Amino acid sequence: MIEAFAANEIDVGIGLTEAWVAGMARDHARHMKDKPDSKEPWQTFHVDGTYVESPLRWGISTGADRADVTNVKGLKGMKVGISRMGR
Amino acid sequence: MSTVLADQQFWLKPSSKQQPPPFEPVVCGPFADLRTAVNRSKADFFMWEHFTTKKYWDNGSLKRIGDIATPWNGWHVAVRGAEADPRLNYTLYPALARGIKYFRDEKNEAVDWICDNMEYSREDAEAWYKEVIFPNALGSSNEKGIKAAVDSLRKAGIIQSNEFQPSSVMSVSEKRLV
Repeated sequence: MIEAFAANEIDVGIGLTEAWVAGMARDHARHMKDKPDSKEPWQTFHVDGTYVESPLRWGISTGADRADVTNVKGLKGMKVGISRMGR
Repeated sequence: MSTVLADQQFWLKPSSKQQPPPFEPVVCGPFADLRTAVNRSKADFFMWEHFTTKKYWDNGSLKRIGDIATPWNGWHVAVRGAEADPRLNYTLYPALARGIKYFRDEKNEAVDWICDNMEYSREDAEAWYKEVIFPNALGSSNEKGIKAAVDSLRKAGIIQSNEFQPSSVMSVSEKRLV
């Protein structure tokens, strides 16, 4: 959706809050780097308003037989699986 | 979210700036790959939406460690460009408002639909339904929530510029951060 905004393909999108904020931060950083003195708007998109007020609840999981991973406190310094690297 | 988890556990240094990663990230791929990874010890834990994960806790293929909620509102409407789009007020927003009212009024139909079309138990669908809160008025955002997202992303190193603030995510033409 972020690419579609930049390509003028869509006018509106609904998505996770942190994804929008991270995407806008990339737009902002790119603008600061390439055109720091420009008065042009740097936003290819922006946040209009809340769609779902309740937070998203994330479960924290390990493997079924992982005796070495038992509680949240014990997660410190461990390896976290992620889908892909955040940008 | 792993930054948020570490932050809530006080494992980050007291600073608003970018932190060394609290956990070693292991890129695995989508949900199925994450499940495989923790079962094969390629990764030690992962985080995924609670109800989608619960099926795997219930069937014994994953072990539940805990839960964490985003310190911010879950979903937002985004609009192209930098200026507010007044068309939303007579197109998308009235339609969403009708849908939200229907969802609130017709709980049984909503739960039935989820059970029939998605693989959730009635019990889980009802528990999920109770937790979902839509705003009463569309077209504005909550400053505390946006600030929490900005702060977390800054600590995770995604936001580097001090000039990027909560107000930066909103429209330049109308003030809608309440």
